[in-house]
Formats: sequence, structure tokens, C-alpha cells
Amino acid sequence: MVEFSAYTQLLVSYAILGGVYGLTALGLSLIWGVMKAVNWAHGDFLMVGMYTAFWTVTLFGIDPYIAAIVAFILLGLLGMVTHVIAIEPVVEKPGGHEATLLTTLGISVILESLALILWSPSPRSFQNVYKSTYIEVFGIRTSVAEAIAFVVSIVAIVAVDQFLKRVRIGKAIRAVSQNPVGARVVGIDVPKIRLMTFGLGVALAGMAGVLVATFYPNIRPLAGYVWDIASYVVVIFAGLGTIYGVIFAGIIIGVTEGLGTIVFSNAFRQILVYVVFLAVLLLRPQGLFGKALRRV
Amino acid sequence: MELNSTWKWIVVAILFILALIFPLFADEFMVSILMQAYLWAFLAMSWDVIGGYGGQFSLGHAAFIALGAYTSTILLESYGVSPWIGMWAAGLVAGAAGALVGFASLRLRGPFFALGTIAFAELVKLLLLYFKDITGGPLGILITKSGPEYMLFESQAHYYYLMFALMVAGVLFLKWFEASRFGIGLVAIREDEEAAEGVGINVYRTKVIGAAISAFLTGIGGTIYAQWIHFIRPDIIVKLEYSTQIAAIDVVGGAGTPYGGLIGALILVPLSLYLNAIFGGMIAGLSLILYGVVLLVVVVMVPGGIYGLVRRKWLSRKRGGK
Repeated sequence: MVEFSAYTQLLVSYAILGGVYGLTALGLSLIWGVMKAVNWAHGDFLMVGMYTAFWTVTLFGIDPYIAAIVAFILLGLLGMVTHVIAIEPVVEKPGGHEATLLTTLGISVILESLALILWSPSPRSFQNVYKSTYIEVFGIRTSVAEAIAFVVSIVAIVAVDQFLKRVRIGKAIRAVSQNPVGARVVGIDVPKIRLMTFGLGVALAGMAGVLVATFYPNIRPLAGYVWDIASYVVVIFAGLGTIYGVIFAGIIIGVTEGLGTIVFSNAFRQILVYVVFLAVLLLRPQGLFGKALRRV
Repeated sequence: MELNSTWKWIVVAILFILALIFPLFADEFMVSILMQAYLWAFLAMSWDVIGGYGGQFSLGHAAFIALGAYTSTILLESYGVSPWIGMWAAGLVAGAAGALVGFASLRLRGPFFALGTIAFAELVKLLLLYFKDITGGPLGILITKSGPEYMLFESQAHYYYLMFALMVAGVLFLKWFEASRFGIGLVAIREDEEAAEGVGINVYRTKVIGAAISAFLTGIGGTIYAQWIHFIRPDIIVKLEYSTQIAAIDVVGGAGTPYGGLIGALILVPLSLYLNAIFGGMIAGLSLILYGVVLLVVVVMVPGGIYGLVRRKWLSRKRGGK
């Protein structure tokens, strides 16, 4: 029984992590849905969010959850700049999807190199009360930081969904996602909507980065990579363009990682994730929750 | 036209001779830089088969480098098989893995394929770490033998000629490949899969074999790479960075052309190595940033890469246009 509860603890921890994967994947999913472009720099924006948390907390001593708001705004601006430089000039040209793949790859390399130059490769972390305080529910222990990250992730996903359904701009975003030509016909400024979507997607990545940084002790220039892979896996798993799907997909991926830890060992927990990922990609490329995509 | 082609051959011959005598007057550092450019050129050309001609954007080619490097190195260190023979085994192992990726490309398009290849490379890395009895796990394998019969040389100049021969073989192969029935079929599939199928091209077979050829060549490149650095370890060889660089070099130079890989490598590799040498360990990341900036600029400003740009300029001048 001791073993059983240890496993339960482990799986619940990974399910919580998975919920956060849901948030890290949200921005990626949104951007894909609207402009059919995969943002390869997504994890790097997450990394910039992590550093935003690190610097605002260590330099100004403010609460990390206020840093999340700072990161949301900061990364939103950075996202819009990126969009103007790397997405808008190519997205409507023939072969635009391949081109955005390459340009965001360029952005990714630039962000990683800049982080290496500015902040050195050594990993950083910061102390905060949320990380060192624990709560216990039904015998399952978790740090407050992780619990908050999980709750905020779910709230953010619901909020984005409501934004898309109820707010005028949100509706316009959905219109562009479903039919860009039709959206233009009814007078929606499609390039502007694309700009705002990219900004929002990156802003969400920045916020996710801050939440991750509150409990993840490894803030470094290439940190985005780990979360990148997790986000892609979740997005594909959920089906590109679905909003609520990312919560469930995130939790499923988190639990799979937990199972990987039990079956293999901590260092190789991802073997199982990649196997599941490749299986989903090959067998059900539209994802678990997505509608069948037309082949691009 | 006749004159033009004569001039072209004279220029090629001069460049060829210059490249051959380069180690006689250049210092070790310069030789080493050009040598690495040839190696990356060959890797980019290998990528080009599936990435350029095939239009399947792979971001997992570091896995094939690793499979090639590990195959020949295990054969060398555990069984005493010379890499001159081992490189063919390396190519076959990588090629078999490439065929698997080719099967995947039948179902995955564009970014999905790229994602799948990233996951594939990660999986290869984790498996190399996991089976430590064979691969040495995180400690890797050190090449302890020496002598030219084991493809191990004392001076960089020897490696220079080895890589030069590799690069020339790569260009000649792509020249032959793009004119071959198979190569034309692969390009036809890239342009329009259904139309290609309609004119009787076996899409299934062409894609799988195309990926296998690309991986086969990359695997051989992996052997040569291991022979040069004398040491392999999963985390230094299966890097997304490498997969990205290979693709970036080819795209910058001009994907789907026999010279794109060489042009891209001759521009990007020396630039990044020089930046590294000048700023050294002081500023990590400085050499890499170049790949990002150049890739971004070329894709936005000159689609088709540098070779594409030069050829367009050349053709329009010949036609007496603008």
C-alpha cells in the first residue's frame, strides 16, 4: 500500500504538471488555429517569461504573480514585433506555412543566442514562499506554487475560451480562424487580427513561463526546449486549434510522463511520451479532440 | 552558349585546383574551418534529398548523424572493423531508420512532419542513453585506435582532403540525382502529389526510398564526423541545434539545388567559426545567432536562397532583361 500511495502521489504531481502543459500549449494552439502557422519560437518565449519572473523578483522584490502580469504585457509586445518581422511578410505568400516554419525557427535561434549572451548558460532560480510552502489534500502533498500554477492554467484556458466566444475581437479571431476570406468580406481587418492573435499567443506563453518559473528550478536559455516539446505534444494530442482539449491533453501527457518515470526511470520518462506522441501523430494526426483536418 | 559553358568549366577547374592546394599555403586554422564547411555542406546536401527535392522539412537529421557515428564507432572499437568499411554499415543503419521516417512522411505534412522528426531524434537520443551496454550511455565512446587504415589522421590537412572528397561526391551525386528518373519523381511529388500519382509515379515507394537515401548519406557523414572528433556522446551529437543548422544551411544556400548546401555552408560555417574564434567562450551563443538572423533575412527577402537569387540574376541578364 505504501508503494501504491507513492505512485498516486507521483501521478498526481505529474497530472498537475500536465495542467500547466495545457497552458504552455494554449498560445501555440491559438496561433495555429488562426494563421495555420507553427510558432517554433514558442518555448523560447516561455523562456523569456521565466527570465522576466527571475529578474523582476530578484531586482524589484515583487510578487511572482505580479511578474506574470508584467510578462503578459511585455511578451505580448515582443510577440507583436515578432509577428511584424517574421510572420506577416510571408504568411500570405505561396508556401507561406513552410516559410513561417523557417522564420520562427530563425527567431527561436536568435532568442536563445541572445539569452545565452545576456544571461549566460548557467541555470538560475529564485526563492519564493509559494515554492517552499506545501499543502496536503487527501494525503497528496503539493507545493502552493504548483497548485496555483495548475489553477491559474485552468482559469486562463477558460478565460481565453470565453474571450473567443463573447468578446467582439475574440469573435473576429474565431471568424478569421474558420474562414479568412469570408472574414475579410464582412469587413474584418484580417492582418490586424493576426497581429493581435500572435501577440496574445506569445503573451500567454510569457505568463506560462512565469508560472513555471515559480516552481521549476532550472531557468536557463535553453529551458524553453523542454516545454516546447511538451507544448507541441499537447497541441498535437489535443488537436490543433481546440481550446478545452489542451487541458485534458496536458493532463494525459503529464500522467504519461509519470508512468514513464515508474516504468523506466526519471531520466528516461520522456521515452514513453515520445512513443505516445509519434503514435498519435501517425494514427490520429487530427488529435484526440480535434475534427479531422484537411491534409495541408 | 558554347563559350559560356567553356568559361564555366574553366572557373570550376580553377576553384577545384585552388581548393586542392589550399592546405599548402593556408594555416591550420583556416584549413580546419574550410574542412568543417565541407562536412556541413555534405550534411546539408544529404538533407536536401528529402528536405529540398522532397519538400519534407526534417528537423531530425542529427539522429542520422548519430546512428551513423555510433554504428561505425561501435564496429571500430568493439570489433576492430575499419570505418572505411564501417561507414557503409553506418549508412545502411541510418538509411533503415530513414525509411521509417519516410513511412511517417506518408502521413505527416509540413509542420507535422517536422515535429515528428524532432520527436524521432529525441527518441534516438534517449535510446542511445538507455542502452548503455552497447553505446556507453551518457559517457559515450572514445576512439582509441589510430592510423589511416582506421580513417584516423594526424593532421587537419588529411581530414581536409577527406571532407573535400566527401563534399565533391555530394555535389556530383545531387547533380546526377536531380536528373535521374527517381529524382524527377521526387520533385514531382513535392509539387503535386496527386498529379504525380496520376502520371504513374509510385508515391509510397519514392518517398520512403528518398528518405532512406537522405539518411544513408547523413549516416556516412556521421561516420566521418566521429572519425574527425574522435569522441561521440548522445548529448553532443543528437542536438536539435545540429538538425536546425543542417536545414538552415541548405535553405540559405538554396534548397533543392546541387549547390545550395555548399554555398550555404561556405557562407555560414566560416562566419560562425570566426565569430566563435574571436569572441570564444566569452560570449556563448554569438555564433549561433548568425544562423538565426541569416535564416530569417533570407527566407523573408530572398525566397529560393542565395543560389536561387544568383541564378535569377544571371538568367535575366542573359535574356537581356532588367
